[in-house]
Amino acid sequence: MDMENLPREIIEDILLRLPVKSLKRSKCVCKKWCSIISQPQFAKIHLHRPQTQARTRLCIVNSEERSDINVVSNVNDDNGELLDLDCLTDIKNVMNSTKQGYILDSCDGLLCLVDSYNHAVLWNPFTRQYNHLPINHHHVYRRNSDYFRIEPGVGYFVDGYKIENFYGFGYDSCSDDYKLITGYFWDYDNNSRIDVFSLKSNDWRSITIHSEKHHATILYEKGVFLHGAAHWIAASSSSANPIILAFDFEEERFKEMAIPIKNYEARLQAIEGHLYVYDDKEYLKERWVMKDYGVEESWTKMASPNSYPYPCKYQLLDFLNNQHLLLINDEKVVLWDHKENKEYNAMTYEKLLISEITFFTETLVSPHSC
Amino acid sequence: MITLRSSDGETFDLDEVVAVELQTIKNMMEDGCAESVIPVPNVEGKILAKVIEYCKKHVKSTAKAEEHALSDADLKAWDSDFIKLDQATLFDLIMAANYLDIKSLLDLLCQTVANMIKGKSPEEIRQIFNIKNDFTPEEEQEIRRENQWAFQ
Repeated sequence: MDMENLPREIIEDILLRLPVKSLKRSKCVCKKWCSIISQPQFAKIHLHRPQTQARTRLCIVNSEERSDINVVSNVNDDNGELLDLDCLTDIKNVMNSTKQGYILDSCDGLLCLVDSYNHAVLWNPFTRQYNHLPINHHHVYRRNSDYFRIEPGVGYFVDGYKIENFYGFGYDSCSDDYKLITGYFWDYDNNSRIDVFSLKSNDWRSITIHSEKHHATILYEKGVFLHGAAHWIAASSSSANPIILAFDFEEERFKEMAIPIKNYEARLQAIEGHLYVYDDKEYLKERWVMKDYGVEESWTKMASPNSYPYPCKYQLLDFLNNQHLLLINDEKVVLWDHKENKEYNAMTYEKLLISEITFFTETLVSPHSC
Repeated sequence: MITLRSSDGETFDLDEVVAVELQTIKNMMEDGCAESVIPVPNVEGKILAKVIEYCKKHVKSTAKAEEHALSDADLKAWDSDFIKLDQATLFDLIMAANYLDIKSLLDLLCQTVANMIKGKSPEEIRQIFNIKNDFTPEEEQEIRRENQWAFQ
């Protein structure tokens, strides 16, 4: 028996184990392989393979000119090694404008970038495909709209009323669709309006949600997606403490969750299927993970690391496998072994002022509506 | 005790506890249609021998953790030795593991092949596996252009 005569489903099983770069090369081997890999179903099955889910990457945007996107290849690869920094592309190519864009969130290997004019792009950094989404014509504009900026907690104004604006991007498993949502809370009543973009139908629609009880105000407009919902830190009128407000993409309604951090420095992160909340000022001491999604009692405090590379100022990105911390500062990305109190692996780069960091998975998922 | 007979007439005796690692055989036993000697027409003797060798090793590890139990690390080391095979045997084993429905063996073998593909250029892959390039020059140029970044 040889490779050429193997049944198609076995060749498929073998190819499903490969990372995206190898798959792109494998497409060029012969027509049979090309055909197998190009099937839309292949990308879907590949996405859910454990090897794929384990290939978490880190995307760093250089804020110096907001133009470079650097991708750390391999936060946690097949061998547990930190590989080379791989500068993928100039974000201007992807954004197709000179306006500043930021990464809203990632889902299944797709990054959603939004610029300040509410123009969005879906981008898969590994297949290099990108898709400019149609403009949202439902979008609420200011009266004097020559300039508006989206600022957390400030929103913008229409007819003198303040609107809180927030975003979320994720996957609705019920309709097998990627969705981008732009939401607005109106200041003068308890309604909120959500504009939903569906990749499948490639269009926007608008829904109004009546608030059941009290009013919650989203504080930081970037939603964090996992488990079928986008999550934000919000202030609730019925509680002195911040809460999580989550919008379920399938049911299209809000739900609330309590968090163990009682001050407004609380921030959210989603890494490998778990929701984390941390105190932005005390992230070494106050970092919690929701062990069972949706179960408030399962908030578990993470132990502070045994050691930390002082005095260099780093931002903690993640605890990996209880021994290593993933840290970042202006010069390098470091895997720090906090039990041995030393650097395990590091990558340095020139003049990087980090503006944003996003974790994402390396997949074949297409940003286009098929 | 179960007896398997390969395509070329070799017979192999197995304890039941080993035989159930081969899902196809297990199904036959459960359906009551397992006879005294079970023919395995698609698999020749030397391949069947290797399949049985794998199953015997892996049964010992899932059985109660007694003196014979191998640690995970030991088993992994044994597996890495096991897969040091020529290509023809490797693919014959894949076909056998698929036919006999031995999930863990198929998984190990497919992963081995995937590791051979990873990081190689299309030319290298074709050479290793003796695959014919059936693209026309124009088609090949187009495909490479679409995926060009993967070659950097």
